Amino acid sequence: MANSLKTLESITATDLVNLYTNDLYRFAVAKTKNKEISEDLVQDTFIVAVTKLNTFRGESTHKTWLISILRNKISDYYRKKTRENISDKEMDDQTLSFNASGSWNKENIPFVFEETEHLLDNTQFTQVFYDCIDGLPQLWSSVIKMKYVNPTKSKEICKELNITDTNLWQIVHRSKLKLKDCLGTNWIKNN
Amino acid sequence: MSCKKSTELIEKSKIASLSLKEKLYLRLHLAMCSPCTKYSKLSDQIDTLIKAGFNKENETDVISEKRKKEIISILNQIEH
Repeated sequence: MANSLKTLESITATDLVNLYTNDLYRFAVAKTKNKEISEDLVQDTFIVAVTKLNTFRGESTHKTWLISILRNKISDYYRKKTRENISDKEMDDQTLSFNASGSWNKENIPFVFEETEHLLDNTQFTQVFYDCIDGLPQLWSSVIKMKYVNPTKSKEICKELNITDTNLWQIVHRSKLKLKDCLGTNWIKNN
Repeated sequence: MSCKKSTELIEKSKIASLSLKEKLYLRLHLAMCSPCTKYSKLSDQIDTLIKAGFNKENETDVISEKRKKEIISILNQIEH
């Protein structure tokens, strides 16, 4: 690879940008589903990289190193979003799925997808799916994203979002019920 | 055990561990409750979809040359 021929000292900020911008950008768009925010996250990543370039020891490739900085930026972004919206704490237990005795409501009985392998190739489905995730309370969607998207250890998620272990699986539980209802209404019923 | 509780245990089991008693109750409940069995499967499917969906990179996503130049000029100001 041409870039690995460059000695560590001689690689410049401009080289890094020219070589890796689109890799970083695609990574960020995949995780945030937001192009504008992704551009900013990529820019912030390079700013951190440039100020730390002299500490880069070559133990990983430049790309791996940049991606690890970007991962942190994405986690910061989830966390910040959560803090901004923490006031609308919809931590109450009002799920439509169950009646007062904890049995399934008839209209909200779970469904199962016939297959999941090709679903994500369907842009109509992905639109509904990402909208449903965006529709979750901020704290919940941050938990989901940190858990599944930027694979973070449960302990760290709890620490970063300031929740307990018990909160964590309760939030995942409520999020899944909400996603079930949202996908049921907006996808299953129409297809 | 209620369906609400059983679905809670399904999620708990994926993150923390269940006590022996919880494991037993859940297994018993799932054996006779088809909606909760469906929930368990749907829960796995949602995990798969989230993981795959948010890791799917798109070749056509590129930053404009103009934006790239902006980034470079910001970086040059920091470097000097």
